[in-house]
Amino acid sequence: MNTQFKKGILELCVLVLIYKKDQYGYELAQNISKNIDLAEGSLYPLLRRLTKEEYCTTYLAESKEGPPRKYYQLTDKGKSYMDFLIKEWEMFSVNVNELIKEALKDE
Amino acid sequence: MNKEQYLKELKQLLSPLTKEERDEILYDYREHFDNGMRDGKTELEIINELGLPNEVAENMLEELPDAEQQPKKSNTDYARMIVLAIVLIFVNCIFVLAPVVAIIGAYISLYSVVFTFIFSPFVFLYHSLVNDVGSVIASLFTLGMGISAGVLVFLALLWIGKWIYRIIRMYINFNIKLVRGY
Repeated sequence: MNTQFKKGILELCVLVLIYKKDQYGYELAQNISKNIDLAEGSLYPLLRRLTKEEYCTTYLAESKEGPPRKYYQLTDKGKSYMDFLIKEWEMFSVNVNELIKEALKDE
Repeated sequence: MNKEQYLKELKQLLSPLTKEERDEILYDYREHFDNGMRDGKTELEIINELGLPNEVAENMLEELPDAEQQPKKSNTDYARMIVLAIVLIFVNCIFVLAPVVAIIGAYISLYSVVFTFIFSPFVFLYHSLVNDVGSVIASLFTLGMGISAGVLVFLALLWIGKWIYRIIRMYINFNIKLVRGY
């Protein structure tokens, strides 16, 4: 799949997942790769950008086993950006489905 | 490839970034490895999931705004580096080289002490056995003393040698860093 396209989808998935609950990097990677095939290494560049653009913040929290983990938390700004992306995605997928349906109808 | 090699390669590929930025990124990947291994994965499995370091680094450099990257070296920087390098070569040749060579020479010559300690008692032993000069017991005793002293000095020399090597390397690295400017 087109990487630029995939990046956009990945961004949306990350925002939705940390909206549901705060998560650390590895946890996020596992949750995404359950549904989507991705190079997990590409998650961290995205997370850094989202943090820089203030869509999310990070904090360290102790874990029972081992060193503290860096958790990502959605900000209000991130929440409205997520809503915007979801709307875009829904519109996009409706349009694509429509297109496919119309194209295949005449077969 | 293992975890440390992976992180090392990533660190090199991220050299256009500032040190703080790079350290933070590497910390995240280290944490990822730790969590994955606690999850029962091998280092190799985690690396396969992450993707190659050059893909990660490329991705990272793309995502970050240019301001985060270190400014490229300008021509004046290069001029400064060359002048500094020449000055350092002079200073090192005049003030540093001679003492260092002297110290290394002295150090190597100390090995002859070890040699003497260990082998000269054999001469006593030989004389007492073959020519019947002095007592055999006394020469055996000297032999024991000589070998133990020789081994002790030898170990001390190895230790000193290790430190001389380290100090010289530190000094060379210091020079390189000075010229590079960080």
